[in-house]
Order: sequence, then C-alpha cells, then structure tokens
Amino acid sequence: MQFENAIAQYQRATQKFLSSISNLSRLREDQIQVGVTPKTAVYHDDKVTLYRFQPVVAQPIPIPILICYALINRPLMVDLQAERSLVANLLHLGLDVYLIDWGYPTRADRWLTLDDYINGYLDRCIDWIRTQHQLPAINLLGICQGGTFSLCYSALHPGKVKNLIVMVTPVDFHIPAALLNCQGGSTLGAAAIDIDLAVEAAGNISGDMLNYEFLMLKPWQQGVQKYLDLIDIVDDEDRLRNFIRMEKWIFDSPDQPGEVYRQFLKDFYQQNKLIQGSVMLGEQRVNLGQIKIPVLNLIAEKDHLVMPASSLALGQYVGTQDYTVRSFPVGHVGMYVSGKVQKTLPPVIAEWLQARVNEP
Amino acid sequence: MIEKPVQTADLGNTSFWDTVIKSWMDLSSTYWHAAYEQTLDRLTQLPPLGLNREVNLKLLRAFDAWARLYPTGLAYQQVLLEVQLRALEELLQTLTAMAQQGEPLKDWVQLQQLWGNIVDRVFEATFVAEPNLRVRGSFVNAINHSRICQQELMEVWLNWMNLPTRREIDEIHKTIYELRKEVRRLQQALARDEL
Repeated sequence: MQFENAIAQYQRATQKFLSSISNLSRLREDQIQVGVTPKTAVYHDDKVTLYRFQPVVAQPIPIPILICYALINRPLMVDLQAERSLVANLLHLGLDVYLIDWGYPTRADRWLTLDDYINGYLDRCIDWIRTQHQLPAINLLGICQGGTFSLCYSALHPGKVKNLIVMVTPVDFHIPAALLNCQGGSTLGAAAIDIDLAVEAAGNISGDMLNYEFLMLKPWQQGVQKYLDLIDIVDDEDRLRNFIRMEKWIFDSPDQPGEVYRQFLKDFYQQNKLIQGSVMLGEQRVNLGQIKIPVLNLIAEKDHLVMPASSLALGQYVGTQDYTVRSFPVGHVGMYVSGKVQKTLPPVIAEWLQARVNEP
Repeated sequence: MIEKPVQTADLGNTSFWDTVIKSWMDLSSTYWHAAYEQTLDRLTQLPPLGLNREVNLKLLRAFDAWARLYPTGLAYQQVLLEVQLRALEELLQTLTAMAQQGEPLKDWVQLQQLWGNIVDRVFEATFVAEPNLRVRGSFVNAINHSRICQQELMEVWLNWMNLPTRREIDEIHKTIYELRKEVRRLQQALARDEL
C-alpha cells in the first residue's frame, strides 16, 4: 500500500461519510422498529408477558410452539426485522407461535430464583397454552440461556413438553478456552469472579455491565471494527436501519435478578452442575437423563458466546432416543439475522416438528 | 481482604516492552509497599476506640478497600497494555511476512481488519490464561469489595438522615416476595380443594 493510495482512500471514505450524513439525519429513533410481526399479549404474570403471534395459515400445525428466550437481552431478537424474522418465517411455515417476554426486572425482583422462573413463570405460561389448546403437551423452543431453562423444565415436567428444540444453548460450561466461561469462573471459580460479592455489591446485575462483558470478548470487533464498517453501509438507508436496529437490540439489556444470576453463575458456569445432574430447582434435582422426548439441537458453528462443543455435549446426557443435531455456519446472533440462515433454519424446525405431529 | 496483585502470565520471549512494563510495575510496587502498606495500611488495620468506633471502622475499611483497588487496577492495565503491544508485534511480523511473500497490503481496510483480528485473538488468548484471569478477577473482586464498603458508609449517613437504607428496602422486597409466594401456594391449594 503506497502512501498516496492510503491518502486517496482516506479522502474517498471521508467524502462517502460526509455525503451520507443526510441519511443519518433523516433517521429518527422512534422510526427504528423491532418486533414488527403482529402479536397479542394473552397472559400476564408479574412482569412476564406471554405473546401469541397472529397465525398466517388457515390450519396451523395443531401443537403450538412456545419460544423461551434468555433473560439476557430482549426476546424480540427472534423478530428483529420483517424480512429476516424467525417468527415470521415459522408462521408462514404453518406454526402457531407463542413467545415469553420476561420483562425488565427491577430491584423488587432481586430475590427471584431460577426456580421461580422455570417452575413458576415458564410452567404457568405452558399451563396457560395447554389449557387454551386443550393439549397435554406443547412444543418448546429454548434459545441460549432460555434453552438451558427449557432443558431444566423438560427434565422436571416431561409430560408437558411434546418436542424440545434448543438453539445455541450452553450445556457443558467447562469447555476449554471459552473466554466467556473462563471469565465467569469455569476454571478459577471465585478467583475469576466472586459471585456472592458481586451480588452483594450490586443487588441486581446491571444489563450495562453484562453488555460490557460481552463486548470485551471481542473488544476490537465489537467496539471499533463494526463502527468503522458502518462507513461502508451508511449511504444505504436499509442497511443503516438494520445496523441501528441491531444496536437498539444489543443495548436494550434488562438487569438480571441477583439470585438468578448467583445460581446461574455458580451452579452452571462455575460448578457445571447441569451435566452432573446436580442442579437443584426448589426441592427438585434436574437430571437431563429424564428428557425422553424428541430433541432437536441447533448450533451456530462460529458462536463465540456459546461454543458449539458446549451445546453438542447435550447428546451425551439427554435420555432421548430421538436426538437430532443441525448446525449452521454463522455466529450466535447470525442464527436470528443472517439472511441465508433464515432461509434454511425455519424449514428445519417446521419439518422436524411436522414429522412428529402424530407421534404419541 | 482483597488479594495482593499477582504476576501476569509470561506470553513469550522478553522484549524491550516487557522490560519497560516490568520496570514500571516494579517501581509502582515499590511505591505501593513504601507509601501505603508500611504506613496507612497499618493505620487502617488498627481497632478504633470511642463513641464513633463503628463509623470510623467503616471509614477506614472503605479507605483501605479503595486504596487496594489501585494495585489490582494497575495489574489489570498492565495485562491490557501487554495485549496491545503483543498484537502490534504480531501485526508487524505478519506485515513483514506478507511483504516478503510479495503480498503487500491492498488498502487501509485490510490493514485495520488484520490488526483487529490479531488484537481480538491475542486478547482472548491472554485472558483464558489463568494468571491473567486471576489478575482480572482480583480487579473485579476489589471493585465489588470497595463498592460494598462505600455502601456501608452511605448507610451510616442515611441512618443519620432518617432515610431508608438499601438493606432495609431489600428486606421489605424479600418479605413481599415471600408473601407473594405464600399467597400463590394458598391459592393453588384452594383451587385444588375446590376441584
């Protein structure tokens, strides 16, 4: 690269950026919509809301599917933009889709436990859907931490889940060289982070702090590179809108209830109790071997938050004979927003469920 | 009590920058030892006396926690600095190797992507290494310890002002949380009996 060329490139980039200011100045925060697919709030439980998306086919698959997202970030990632919406694609493939929105926990919720979320809120949402549809069991799709919740739930309430799908879900938390896990104490325990001290100091763990942790997994890419790359797309209004939509989603992070954070980090990250069959929710012990229903495990091959090996471990511990794995060549977030994945992933889910509709 | 700063991982051969950083850290450590541990630190460990004993104890503890944050923060900054220096070193080696193979950089975008990839990779490799993870952990735990000590002082002031403290509000929230669970259990039992 010659010096003159570098100067010329810099000049072109500057001109492009300046000429794109008009695009930026036209955008307004309230025009950046997420979660555009029509839906209705059908059930409320404290701060938790259960949504039902409006079906778009006359005869949906008779067993509805409930999407259980993580407590980290907002669940509308599955419906971020109209043309790349996992939910919209599932609806068009004939599914009847429900979604749990956990809401924004406040300091009043700091004593909520994993037991309250899994055996409480999640169980009551599932009971509500079962009652409305007069079904003994429904399909459950758990995403990321929500997948871990779904695994625990399916192990404890086997009669209420007909088919289980888990997507980018951590199962083995002691995968070597996984930075997120190491920083959570998978190798050093309290020497990496003293969870009791953190919860005592903060009460609830702030969403901003968690975001900082996630950004610091790839500080250059997440903190610098993506904004430099913005120069390339800033003159394309659609792509710019998509970029800002993603920013809006990433930094819309609810706080984590202190007790939930304490148990999740200590039992799952630090002590890896899920695969040891020693996680306790209330009085009940979670044993993945009790999951005898069909399981579909969806993995992102380039995931740096939930390493593929962490999700793949599920096969060793789950008790079912009907276990399927599908992987996609994207990262964690790419599972929801990649155009290519949104062409292939929803049909995989729909076909897998359709094939099991008539099974007892 | 917060752990003392620990040694960072040795990630490679000693370079000019390693020597500079080590000298800087040694100097800081010497000042820390002479200026705090031998003087004020001993003072903060003394048991206070008199009417304001408890308040003074909290004050001294908060000061000690804040002071101990300094060396852990410095050790963490050192690791971050090492990441940048090692990434720069690796970038220069890569650029040299590319030039020797007749593959010069095409544009500044390629340079920035190459640098970014190297920085993130070095950062990850650095912080999965246990000694560095320990440095980071000491810093994070020192921050939280300091925060708790500050909150205890704040609670003293809130008590003086006859204002509710965080601890008291947490107690109320916990009571409400337990009562709500109890109500839900009773409602479920009632519903079962009605069936």
